[in-house]
Amino acid sequence: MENKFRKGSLTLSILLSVSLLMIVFVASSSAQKVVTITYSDWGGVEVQRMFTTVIEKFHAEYPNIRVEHQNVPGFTDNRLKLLTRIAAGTAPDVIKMGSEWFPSFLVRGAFMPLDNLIASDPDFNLDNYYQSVLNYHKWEGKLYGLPQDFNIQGLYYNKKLFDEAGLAYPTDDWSWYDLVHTATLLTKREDARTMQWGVAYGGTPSALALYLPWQNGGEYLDRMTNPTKSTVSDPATVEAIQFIADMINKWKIFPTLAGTTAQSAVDMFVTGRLAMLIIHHGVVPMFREITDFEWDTGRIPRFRYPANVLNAAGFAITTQSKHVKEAWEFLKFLVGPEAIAVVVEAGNSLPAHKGMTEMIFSPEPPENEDAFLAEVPFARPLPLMKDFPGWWKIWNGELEKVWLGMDTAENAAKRIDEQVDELLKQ
Amino acid sequence: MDRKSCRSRTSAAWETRVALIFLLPHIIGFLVFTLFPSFFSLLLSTFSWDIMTPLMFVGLQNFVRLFSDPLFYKVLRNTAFFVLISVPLGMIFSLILALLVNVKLKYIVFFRTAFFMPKITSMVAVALVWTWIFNPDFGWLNSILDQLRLLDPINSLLGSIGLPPLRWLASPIWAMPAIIIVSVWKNLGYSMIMYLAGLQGISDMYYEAAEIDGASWWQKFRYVTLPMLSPTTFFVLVMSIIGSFQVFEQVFIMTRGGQGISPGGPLDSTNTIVLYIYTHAFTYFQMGYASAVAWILFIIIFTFTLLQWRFQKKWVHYG
Repeated sequence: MENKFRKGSLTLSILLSVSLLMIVFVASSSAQKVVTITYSDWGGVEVQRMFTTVIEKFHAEYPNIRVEHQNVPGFTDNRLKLLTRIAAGTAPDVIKMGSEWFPSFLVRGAFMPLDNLIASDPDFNLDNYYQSVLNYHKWEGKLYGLPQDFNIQGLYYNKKLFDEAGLAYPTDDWSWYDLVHTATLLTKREDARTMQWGVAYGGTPSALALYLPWQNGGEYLDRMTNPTKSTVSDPATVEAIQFIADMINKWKIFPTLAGTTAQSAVDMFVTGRLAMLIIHHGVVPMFREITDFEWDTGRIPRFRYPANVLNAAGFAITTQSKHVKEAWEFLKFLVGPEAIAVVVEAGNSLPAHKGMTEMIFSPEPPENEDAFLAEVPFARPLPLMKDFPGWWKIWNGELEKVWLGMDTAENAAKRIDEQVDELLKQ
Repeated sequence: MDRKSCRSRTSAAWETRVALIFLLPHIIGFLVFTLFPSFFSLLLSTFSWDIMTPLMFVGLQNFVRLFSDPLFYKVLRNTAFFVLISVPLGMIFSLILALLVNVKLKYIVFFRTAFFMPKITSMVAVALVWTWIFNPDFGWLNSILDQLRLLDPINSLLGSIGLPPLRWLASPIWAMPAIIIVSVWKNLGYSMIMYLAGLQGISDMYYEAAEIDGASWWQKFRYVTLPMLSPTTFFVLVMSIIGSFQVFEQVFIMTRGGQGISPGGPLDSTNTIVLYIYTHAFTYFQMGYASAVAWILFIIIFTFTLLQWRFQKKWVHYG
């Protein structure tokens, strides 16, 4: 009789605890359903750290959304990985992508337009962001991405080299001719090798040629979004391109091709072999560690008018995302003041949010931080088109002959127009 | 008697089964990751596909297109130039190295290891360092040449025969030689080890016989070493050709060009077949076209290898 009772109560207690557990389990899972979304981007260790901080803050504010961060070190690798994941049907929910690449993806249906999400969300105000940066992510009237930050070009100069040569520092209203004159005095040659260069661009000269024509009032495409015709033969554009070629081949103050990959131009500046460098804001954290000489920044010189180029990366939601609501919450957070503060603090870029401009002023060099902000009203985005890589191949391919001194800008312009018109017809 | 033969038959079958089980992981991996993708890419070459939109059948259009692309022919020429120069250079230098390290000195292993090291280092690291070495103004190479007072005379000499100065990766003429130098340097160790093994397999008997006949150093090399090494040479030749036709990493890293979008060196002088395939697949989103080019590359390499197999009877001595 006793045993039966014990057996009975044992069975009863087991049944009770199991059902209690089940109730708790069902209750918790329906009350607080945790949604996991994936976010993929690229960047080295520092970028990873920044975004880990941002994601931690997001988790604190939105406990029912978990973000899985998938980071790939290189930009190209990131693009490849994104392609394979789209093919497999497992695309991340939120992605970061270089702005010129947006059209390549969105015309193939990879990203979803954000207009409805923005319109139906009272917390989000599109006016907070610089229009020129937003334009990067617009295509055929719809907005496909939102920016955190952007980059703009400035002129960096080595104060020590200027002092040694007894030259005055660049001013904010310098013209390119002023720059050429100064650079000539700062270029030192020893037989076949140039031991010190006057000026270099942080990239291939073909990239400088993307915005120098604007300073001369010239255009190379009939319109900057989804162009239909190439207009490189425009005399103002030809003049600007020829000017760059002359800096390389005629006045020899600008290093030729191999010397102008972004990394080597930056290395040249850091090791004191380059007097002036034209590049975006992203090198500031690295330059702050220079101890051999003092440096500062100025506005880029101008031809006839001031003009500058914007570079930005944007965040988009993929059409394959199964958690659009949660992805939108995360996207909003990514481009909100909290996240932007983390990203911009290091000094790599400028905030795309108008309310955050004071963030970029810090006691560390450069002193003339104003130079970058002053350029913002004159900055334009790069052309947006379906086949940007194909267009760049023609642009860079023909212009290379000019940089190598094998042809004139005028002839190259004609060839570019021919080939690009062919390309744009497709 | 019956029981014994029964046991041996069962154990043979059992051994075969065990062997298959051990081989199965590799076979599955081969089927899934090598065989299936290869045939899929053959199928894909008749389609146009940019990964994000559905497949579109285009038949032989990709092949027609590649045969009418001037860049494809340039790329073939560049790759052929690379193979023609780097393979003989590599084989000759690695044979010399093998002869040098084939001595019974106490610490010779250190040198063998040192020569082999480049083979196992990361191509990315190697390419980055060599890019700096080749910098026309501050790079180690031109600096040394200049300090030895050789740079100017060399450039003048080049100028007199119509060649541009030595600006390496910045020059459409010298960029590919720079790539060749890096590639040969990196792979020397591997071929050296092959040759070393081959050299050590030559019985001293032959050399003693030659010495008795009064053979000089050169004669010993020409009539004993080289023929006895011919199987190794054949192997090195076939592997080098197959490998060098697929050159990619050093070209991709050292001649990246504008914005990383169009690697291939000044005026596409270092654009090679694999780089061409890569660019069309992942930058232009043309998977079908890239697959077609990949199969053309396969046919080229296969033809070369087949020719070498047929011709080996003429010069390779086994046994």
